[in-house]
Amino acid sequence: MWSAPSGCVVARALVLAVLWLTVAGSPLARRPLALSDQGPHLHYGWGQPIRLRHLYAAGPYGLSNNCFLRIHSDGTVGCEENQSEHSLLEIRAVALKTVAIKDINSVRYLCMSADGKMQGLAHYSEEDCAFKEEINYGYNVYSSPKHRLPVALSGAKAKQQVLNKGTVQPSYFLPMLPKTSEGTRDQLESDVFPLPLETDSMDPFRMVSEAELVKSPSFQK
Amino acid sequence: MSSRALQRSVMLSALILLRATAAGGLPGDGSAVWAENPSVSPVDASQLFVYDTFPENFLWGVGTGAFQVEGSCEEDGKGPSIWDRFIHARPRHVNGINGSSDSCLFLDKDLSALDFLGVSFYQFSISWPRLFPDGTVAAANPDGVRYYQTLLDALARRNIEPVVTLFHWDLPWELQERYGGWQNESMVDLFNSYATYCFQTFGDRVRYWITIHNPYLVAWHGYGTGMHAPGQKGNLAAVYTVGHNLIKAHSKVWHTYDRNFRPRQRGWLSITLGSHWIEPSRPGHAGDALRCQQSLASVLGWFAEPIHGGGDYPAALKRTPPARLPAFSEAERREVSGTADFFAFSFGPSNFKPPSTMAKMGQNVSLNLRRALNWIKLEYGNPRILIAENGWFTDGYVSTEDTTAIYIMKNFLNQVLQAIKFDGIQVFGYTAWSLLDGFEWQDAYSTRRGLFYVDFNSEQKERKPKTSAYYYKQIIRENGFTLQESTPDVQGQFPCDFSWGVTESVLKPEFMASSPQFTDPHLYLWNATGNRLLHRVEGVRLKTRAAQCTDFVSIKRQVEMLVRMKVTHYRFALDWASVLPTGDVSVVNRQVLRYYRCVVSEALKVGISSMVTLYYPTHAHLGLPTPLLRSGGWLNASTAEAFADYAGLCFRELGDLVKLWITINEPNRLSDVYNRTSNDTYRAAHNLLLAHAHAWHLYDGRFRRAQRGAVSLSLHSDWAEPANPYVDSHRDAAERFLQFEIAWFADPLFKSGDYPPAMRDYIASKRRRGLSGSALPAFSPAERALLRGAADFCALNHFTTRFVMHEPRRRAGRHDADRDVQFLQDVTRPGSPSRLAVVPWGARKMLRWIRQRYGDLDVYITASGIDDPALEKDQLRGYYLQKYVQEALKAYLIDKIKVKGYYAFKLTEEKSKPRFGFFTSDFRAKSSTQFYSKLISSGGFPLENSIPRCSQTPSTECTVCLFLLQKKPLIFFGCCLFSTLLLLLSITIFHRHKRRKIWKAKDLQNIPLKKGHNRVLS
Repeated sequence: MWSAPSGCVVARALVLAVLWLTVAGSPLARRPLALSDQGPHLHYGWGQPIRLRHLYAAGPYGLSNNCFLRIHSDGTVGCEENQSEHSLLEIRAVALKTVAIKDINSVRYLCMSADGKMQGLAHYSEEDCAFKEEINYGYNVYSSPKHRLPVALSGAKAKQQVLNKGTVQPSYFLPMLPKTSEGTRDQLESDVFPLPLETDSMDPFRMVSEAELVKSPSFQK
Repeated sequence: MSSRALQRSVMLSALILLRATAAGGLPGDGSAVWAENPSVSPVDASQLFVYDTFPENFLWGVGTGAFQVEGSCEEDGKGPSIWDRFIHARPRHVNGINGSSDSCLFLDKDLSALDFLGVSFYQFSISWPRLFPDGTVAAANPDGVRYYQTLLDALARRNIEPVVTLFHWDLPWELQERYGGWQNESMVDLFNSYATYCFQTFGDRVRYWITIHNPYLVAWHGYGTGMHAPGQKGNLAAVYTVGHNLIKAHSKVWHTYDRNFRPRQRGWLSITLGSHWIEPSRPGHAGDALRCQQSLASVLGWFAEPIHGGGDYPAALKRTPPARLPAFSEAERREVSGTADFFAFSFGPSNFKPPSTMAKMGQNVSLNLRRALNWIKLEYGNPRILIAENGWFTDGYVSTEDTTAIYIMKNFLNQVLQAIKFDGIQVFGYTAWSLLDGFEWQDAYSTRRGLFYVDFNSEQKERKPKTSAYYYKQIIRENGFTLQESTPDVQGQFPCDFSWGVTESVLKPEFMASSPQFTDPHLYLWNATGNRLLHRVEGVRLKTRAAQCTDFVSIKRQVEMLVRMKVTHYRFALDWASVLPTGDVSVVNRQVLRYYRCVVSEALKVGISSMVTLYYPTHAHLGLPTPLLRSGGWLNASTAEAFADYAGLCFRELGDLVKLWITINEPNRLSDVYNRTSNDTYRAAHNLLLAHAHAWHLYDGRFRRAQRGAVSLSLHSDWAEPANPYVDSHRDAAERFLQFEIAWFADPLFKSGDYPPAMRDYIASKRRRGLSGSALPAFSPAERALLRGAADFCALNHFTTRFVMHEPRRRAGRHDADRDVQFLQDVTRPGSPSRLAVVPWGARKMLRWIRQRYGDLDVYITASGIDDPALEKDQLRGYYLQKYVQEALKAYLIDKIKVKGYYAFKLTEEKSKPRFGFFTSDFRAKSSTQFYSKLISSGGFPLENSIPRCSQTPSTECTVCLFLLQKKPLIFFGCCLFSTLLLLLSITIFHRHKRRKIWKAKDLQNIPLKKGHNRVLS
């Protein structure tokens, strides 16, 4: 008499359990797939508002030789053959699809002058130093909304191209993760490093400080 | 006596055996010192200051050079030395030798100085021209001989071992004139005759002989730079010839002693070699290490390699100088090699200054005696070493209060102890240089190196012990550094309600939710025109979700970090200027308040309570609302009222969730901002105190009953220790520093309602003497009543201990000039890049001082931490935490101080700033987070087999909730199952019941059928 209904209950419980497992366990099962779905850009941190990257200017549309974008401390914008800490850039989102690019080493922003030439400026200006970031054939392409010109590394050529055809061939970039994590890490200011020995002084280790100011870590930030 | 002789002979035979067996290091082996991986933890036991004693028979001594201290000795027929002539020829040294300490006349005073120190040996030099005025061993000067006989006899009576140097640079002038001094090879025999005479005359009482003191300087400065007598310059060939003759002279004397005197006199003989030390400018760089090796080879190796090594000059020396380096013949090499019974090493300023003293080769000069000893060990096969000269100097104006000398001695001596203990280096004696102030060669009398001060212009030339003499005496008495500073670690736990916190500075509020998709009521179309952009559909408004705390991403991140650390409390600060942009409570930024409320409530959800700081000014950012800043900031009394209004707002809005409040963080540090005049500083402090008191009274009167919290203000409270323990003025300065730093704010609140009397009196007395224009403001009786007791607990931000010196300051004006203090950094303590010293016992002393002064208060350490340059394995921070929490535990368990909480400083750090964070600026956890969370979960330092007392922290009634919470899906599933079952059951029962009813009805209809039916069924 009882066997039929109780068997039915067990079957129901099993079904329920299977259902529950699929719902609860599915994120686990789906995760590896999700990464490939999101594409490499998310993997390379497009989700982050600030990215530390090298910008690799690649062929076939860029310069003849592939290189890494670098802004020199004199304001010139160049290209380095080797990836080094000197070519490390900070790419910061400043508006929707718009970024500012700063060279960590020279602390200069990538900006566009009135004639479309690239230059490194010490101060950020929204008009000249913000670029639309777009993906073109899988490469990153930057363009200035104000000047309506793309970022092109071959400065002189670009100008000529403007004069000749009215169009500029953009440089195609690949953002690359810094090779060594050390490069991206914050560098301590040099004044915290030990001072050299003063052998001519009765206090060679500078134990007695002239400044009598009391400093607190939670006040002197 | 006989046992001593026996001991000596045993030691001697052991020594000879050692000399025979020791293969000796190869030249160049020493460079391994620099190749060492410097990645040893800074808090490794082998790198930290060692509290231990020296080996049992360690020899403690002090040294002098004859020419430096003896004076002219005109009466006893001394001949002139090259140094006498050298000084007289130079106007710079015009006051000459006549101002010296005159040991010639005051030998007994020297002996009392030795008695004072309690040394086991005295290293002095015999003046060659005093024994033989013209240098040749003909008739000895009887007065000279008598002097040294008296000295030796007096030492023997005192049981002080003599260590006698035959030549400490005072060559008889006749020999220089007649032969050209050490440039002439005939000096070798002349020196040998003089030495032989000395062995004959004094050898029965002398066990330790030194032939020549620092031959490098004789050759280099005497013939290279011209800074020493005889003052020849730039003659590199002469420099090496002199060096060559000095080596041969030493070797000859050693053979003389070895052959003719050792069998009877049983002594040991060596030559004192001096050196600098050097470190590669790029650590681990092979080329730089090679340059360091060359630098050392050209100074120490020049003499040590022939004598302690293979008998020839180091290869590096043969290569580098273009000058002709004399060569040793094969026989000479054999003769010279191994002519020292121990390694006598000199490490002091003479080898470091001026810079022309050594070839730096682009590397960094260092005063690391331990590493220098390691180099000797590797290069010369671990010889027995006597430190024959060590110390530094003070400037001429320094009299008996030579604080820096104490710390330099402490540093050097501990390095020697480390070398013995950890590196297995056989140092058997130490010579502090020197006993007396005296003539300091090229510096003449402008620097001082004595443990005893001598006023050179006085008649009696009294020897006054300097503080370094007291220090050395103490070390000799204890035979090292015995543990005195801190009691042994205790095992035990803090109570379960102890608050384990982490501190963060001002939280920058998020003004907008980071994910607007749930709060944006608009509808969008995507890619309508193929441009892949969103287009808003006008006129449509959707229902939105109410704002939630989870909208703020930064809170999620903070809570994650807090959970990872397992803290029970989170201390953070509000941004006054963001909450009240106009400074007036009529305009409140609700969004900001909501953000802060969310921080508190989200943390509470994971069981973390908040300690909220209302006002957290920093040096760069005063943190006041702009209108208040414009109207004078804290110099304006109305700011105090505005602050009380702001505090009231915060209590009202957050007080139901926050039980611990800090009104102002480190008001005593705001003195650095309001520093135009001292009176500005005192005025600002005055207003800050009143602001706090108003806020406290507001809480006490209006909120406490409902909210049951506690309010205080946190003071920057580093401990102060006298830099020089032997000087009363330093002790006073340390106490005065605490008065001016802490009691300044703590006395009005916890004690009298007024500033500390000691501070008032000191400022008033400086003012009377015209040394300061400062005056502390006065509190009215009403204000005093307002202040007294206006804090519920004592909150201390404790980071380090400062070593304080008394330094009178005349510069009227700034407030820090009023307290007359100066700080000293003890180099022997582990420190951080921002020069914070790790001195754990200072924390306990601080707590005891607070208790003693203010009674049995509840105490919270509201910030305590150190910057560690490491980004992952921050061992220094781990060490700091362990030691400081240990001291807090001692204060709690032993001193019964009510320590209620410890808040580690701080959660995260900023880029390019000193690294104080448990998490990096990109939120990566450092290893100390693990250490701290372990410390928290064990509640301190429990005994190993003790049961964790606070494990069932969630109360019993909530175990049920916890169970429910954890098994929610299971319970839900169970409920479903149960209800389904119930449903099924009821349906079944219902149906059966129904069926039975039908049956019954049928039965009733035809009863006679029953039997037939039964029949059918069966």
